[in-house]
Formats: sequence, structure tokens, C-alpha cells
Amino acid sequence: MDSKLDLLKGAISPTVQAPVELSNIGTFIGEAMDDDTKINCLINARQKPEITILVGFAGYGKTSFVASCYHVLLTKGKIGDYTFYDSDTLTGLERRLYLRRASEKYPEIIPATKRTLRGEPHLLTFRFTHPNKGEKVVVLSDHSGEDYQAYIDTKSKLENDVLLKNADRMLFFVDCEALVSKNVLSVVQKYTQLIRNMKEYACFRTDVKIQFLFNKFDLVEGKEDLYKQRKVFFLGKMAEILGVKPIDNPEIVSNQLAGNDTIIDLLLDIVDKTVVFGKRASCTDSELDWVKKILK
Amino acid sequence: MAKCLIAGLPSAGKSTYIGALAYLLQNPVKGQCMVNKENPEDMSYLNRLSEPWLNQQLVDRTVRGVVNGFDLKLKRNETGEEVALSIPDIAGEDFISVIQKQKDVVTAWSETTDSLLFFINKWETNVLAEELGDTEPMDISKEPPAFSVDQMSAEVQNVLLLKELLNIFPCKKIAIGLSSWDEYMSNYNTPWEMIEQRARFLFNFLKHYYPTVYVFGISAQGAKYSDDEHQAEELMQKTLNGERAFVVTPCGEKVFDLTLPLIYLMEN
Repeated sequence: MDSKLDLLKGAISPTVQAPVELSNIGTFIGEAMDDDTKINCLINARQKPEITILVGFAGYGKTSFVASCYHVLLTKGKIGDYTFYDSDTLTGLERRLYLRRASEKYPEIIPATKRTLRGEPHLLTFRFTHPNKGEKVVVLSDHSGEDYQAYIDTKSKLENDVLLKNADRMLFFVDCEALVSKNVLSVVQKYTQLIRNMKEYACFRTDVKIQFLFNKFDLVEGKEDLYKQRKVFFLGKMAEILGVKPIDNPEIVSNQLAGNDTIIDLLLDIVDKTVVFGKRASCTDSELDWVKKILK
Repeated sequence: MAKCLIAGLPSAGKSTYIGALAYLLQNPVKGQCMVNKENPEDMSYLNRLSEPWLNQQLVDRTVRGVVNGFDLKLKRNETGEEVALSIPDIAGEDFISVIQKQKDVVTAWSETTDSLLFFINKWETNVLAEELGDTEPMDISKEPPAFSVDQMSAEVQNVLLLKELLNIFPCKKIAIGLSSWDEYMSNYNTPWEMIEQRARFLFNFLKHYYPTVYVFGISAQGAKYSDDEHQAEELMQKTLNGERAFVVTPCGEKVFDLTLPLIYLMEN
């Protein structure tokens, strides 16, 4: 080496291209997004964001699921062949991870505190790159359970949920513990009302993928036979209301990752297969226009 | 005058670097790329940072809310070219404030910068409770502490800060220094390897947006300070011989020249 300056050769970078920073509301930068129209800012030249909505009532495990998915991505840096390289909502995701930890340590944490810790905004993004498929933005909507209760109580509130009406995938969380308890009919009734309201407000796109996730499966121990019966009963009712039989409805334990590949498999499916099911794998100009026009 | 923002979370090694640099610019080691052409008129603050470095003591915490800026007149040894460089010493807590959407202190130094020298010295990632084996409930009657930056993983704090700083200062060149390299050098061949293994998400982020960023290891102290007299004597000898503070280049080469990252940042 002639000079120490040789150490710098090849390391000179072109002008640095900073990632786009969306101005989200909240105390910190990188909070979850509150405004569905901000999805439009996530569109890149080739693909529209893929939208997955987590539907469920308070305590059904939506936020724990998001935290677990985020934890996998943060620590492994990838899922399948998809490299996780950025999120517009890192703070929103960190809030959920913190809530997840806090819920473990403070099991009697009240719902209002949970909402404060998690923050009100619900939209979370994950940016991936794939060696063959290029870049992809996955959006998860993690509304509070109270919001879905509000959709039952006042169906007209669904009118403004444009994101729900444009979802590529909907994951309905079912509390297995409630399913094997005397509360089963209440669970069925809540989802019956919610889905009826959603249908009335045209919340289901033709090619949306619908799945039911049976969460807290670890809590049915000793009641496995009853659980199987109730699951069949529940899915039958849902098929009646939806007018279509939901397929691929796995059992999960959203707050447990150790020795549990179901969440990882499901996450990979969300990242890799959402648009395949939605038959919108490629994004044409008109589809970009579609997103821009609809989400405003 | 070229401007270089020296940034990083609390205890990232910013002030230690400036203290060591201030001494070495006046007392260059053999082959050092850059030296002082002349000392700044007011050396008081730089001396306050250099003295504990010489005495093998930790530098006092930088006072938050105050920007100490220095205009250095330097000379490149190889070419004789004179270079003017402006750098600030800003408290890590003020960079935490940037994550909290309070950028006043940072922008008080300057509204623009040509380059960013970003230090990292915090690696732990908050993991889920059950993976820590930490499932014992606390006093369940209490409410959990409010969410704060401290609750975020260090990796994400660094990514958020980098994103926001580059949003505020869209600068042309970035260098990232991994501090306390003396503690890690036996485990990793190169600084990039350490990021890849210890902070996979940060690695992905940098490789995606800034694939040619200059990532270097740095040990401004030369070693972890201790009360061991033998080690203190050894470190003093290293200081005299110009073999104490060192930089490890992206290729993994150890160089006793703290000006090397600055040379990279100022190179056109």
C-alpha cells in the first residue's frame, strides 16, 4: 500500500439518498400512521403496498402478533428470501414490542394504559427487498379492539374506513380461551354483527383473502375435543355470513415465539403470498391511480 | 469551510474522539494524514476534552442544550493542502431529543453540513421477555413505565436518529464509527462484520440506502480504563509512541490515525 489514503479508495460514495421520512403524528419520529391516505406516499414506481388488516376485539392478541412478527424481522433481518431493511413506523412497532413486554410483566395492565403505550395510530409498514422480486412494502393495520367494537355498535363508522375496503388480506383473531368457555356465543355474535356490518358497507373486495387465526391455543389444554367442535361450529357460522368458506385458519400463540413456527410461517405467507391471492402481483399505472384515487 | 456533524446517542464516544483528536492534531503520530496548521484561538473546551484522555479518565458528560463548535485549521501531510473544518460537540441527549422531534439544539450549530460522522457504541436489543427467561411478574398492581426512547432497542434508536439527521441534513458523505473496537476486535474481522452479526436490521438498512458508507472501528481510548497501574503505564507508553488510539478501516486494517475518517468525509 503506497499510502493510507489507499484505504479510502473504492469507499467514496455518490450523493447519499436518504429514505423518505413521513411526518407522522405523535411524540416521536417514526410513530405508526393514523391517516390511511399516507399509504399513497408509500407507493413506489413498481408496486403498491400490500395491505393486511388485523381484525379482532380487545385482548384477542393482534398487537402481540405484530410485536412477535416485528421481533422476528428485527432479530433475523429477513423472512424467507425477503430482507427487512426499513419501516416508516419503527416507533409504532417498538411501542408494540414494549407493550408486549409490559403485558408479560404487568398482567393486570388496564386497557386504557395499553392504548396509551401502544398509541392510537394503527398503520405499520415493513419494507422488504427480494433478490428476484424486488422491493415490497407490507402494511399492517392494527386498530384497537375498541375500534372494532365501535364498528359493531355504530355501523356507519365503517363508511370512512377506506383501508378496510381496499385490504388484500384480513386476519380475524379468535380468542381460543373464549371459544371453549361459556362466552362462545358472545364471540360468535360479535363477529356475526361485525361481518354483517362490514358486508353492508362493502368492506370485502372480491379477491381479498380472509383468514381466521385461532389465538391463545395454549389455553385450551385439556379441552382439545371441545375446542375442535367449537372451531367447526364457529367457522360454519362465519362461512354462512361471509358466503364463502374461509380456508387456512391456523392455531397460533401470538405472544410465544419459542418453539413455535406458525407465526413465522404466517408472516412469510403475508409477505410473500398476499398479492398472489389477491391476483394483483404486478402494479400497472391504472392500479397506482386506483390507490391514489381511492385512498384520499 | 467544510462542516462535519459528529453525532450519536449518549456514550457513543463522540467527546472521547474529539478529545483524542484534539491532542493528536497537535501531537501527530507517524504518518498521520492531517495535523493542526494552527491552534484555534480558544482551546479551553478542546483542552477540557483532551486532558481526561491523557489522564486515562472518562470524559465528563457533555452538557445538554449547549453546542460547542470548533473551527479547526488543518493541513494534509501528503499534499500540504490547508483545510478548514468545523465540528460540534453536542450531547447525546440532544440527539435523543431529535428522535423526540426536538431538533433545535442540533440545528443551532448549523442548518447544513457537508458530512456526518456517526458513532455507535450501544448494541443490546430488547428481546421478548420469554426469550430473556424473564417471565417473573413485577408488582402487578403497578402500572408499567411510560413508553420512552429508552424502551426502544439500541439498533432502532440508531436507525431512527440516522434517518432523521439525514432528513434534516441531506449531506453527501457519511462515516460510521463503531466505538470501543478494542473490546470487539478479537471477535470480528471487520466493522461491517460486527454490524451484520450484532445488528442485522441496521446492517440491512445501511446496505440498502448507503451501501458505500465508510464503516470503521475506533478505539479512541485505546483500551478500557482500569485502576491497574501496569495497564496505565502501558497505555501511557502507547500514547507517547503514537500507538494508543486507533481506527480499523472497512477492510479490517488497524491504523493509528484518528484523522482517517475525516479525510474520507472531506474527500471530493
